[in-house]
Amino acid sequence: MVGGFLRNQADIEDVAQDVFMKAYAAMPGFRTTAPFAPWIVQIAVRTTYDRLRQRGRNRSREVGWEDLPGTEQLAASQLATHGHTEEQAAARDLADRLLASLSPKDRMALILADGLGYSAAEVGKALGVSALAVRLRLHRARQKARQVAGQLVGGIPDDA
Amino acid sequence: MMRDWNMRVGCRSIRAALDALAGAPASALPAWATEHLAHCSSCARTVAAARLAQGLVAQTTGEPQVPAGFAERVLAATVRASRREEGAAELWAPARRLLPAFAAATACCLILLEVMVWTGPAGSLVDEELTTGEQFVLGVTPPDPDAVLTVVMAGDAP
Repeated sequence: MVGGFLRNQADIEDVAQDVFMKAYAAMPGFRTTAPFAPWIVQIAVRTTYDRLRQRGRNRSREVGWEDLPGTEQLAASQLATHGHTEEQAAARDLADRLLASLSPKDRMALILADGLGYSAAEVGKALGVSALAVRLRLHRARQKARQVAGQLVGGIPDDA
Repeated sequence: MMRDWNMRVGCRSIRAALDALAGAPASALPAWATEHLAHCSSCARTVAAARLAQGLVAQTTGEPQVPAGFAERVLAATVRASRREEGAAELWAPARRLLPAFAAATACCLILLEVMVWTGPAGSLVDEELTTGEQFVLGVTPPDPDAVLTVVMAGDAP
């Protein structure tokens, strides 16, 4: 999950380690009758959110089609046409560029809901906001992601 | 005129079904959508952008690859952290062991203080303030038979 929110391997390992340590420290407060997964997800989401917020100031700028490496252009045109691509690593880099244009909370809500299939209520619990706020956030995040993707699609040649 | 109206209806339908259309590859779109997208470049771009965005978000949730030695590093960090906590706890351990003794000493002091406060007025009596009879009873002065007789005769005996 942390790998979905962050791209840098060192960041992922750092945050994942923090998550496990926080979970270990918080274990005495965990109610054994409560489900474990939402509890650890909440810790993971909040720890990652803190990291994303720290990195927020260094948010990368949006890039145009011409700025993309060849493999990312290929991944983008395959995804836009067929919905899947063989260029997994390039697509992951491209996804990171796209998600960098969103605020940390929008980004996390989008990944949890559209990537991992969590319900609005589950996302809300993990982010500490209401389900309604999640729906609004998701709507805004999808619009922004489509807008950024639209700029890339505009550059895809017709014969791609 | 009729064709424009059909196009507008088609554009609205595409926007309404955008989430579902974005989730399907171009070859699996319903006939009405395929027909509309073939004639409307704006909608075709919108659907392609939505499909690209959705596809990219899906890329973020691949199977995680746990780096070698990660579990050992986490375990070591956890042990270090718990040792730090134990170290901090040990720093206060002597003080914690002395706590019952300290409490007992404090209680003794309080009891003594209380006793001193109660016995204070009695202790502060000076012998000169006592009558001769009280001095005999309390043994302040050694009993002298003549003096005892005088006291009894005077009716001063307590």
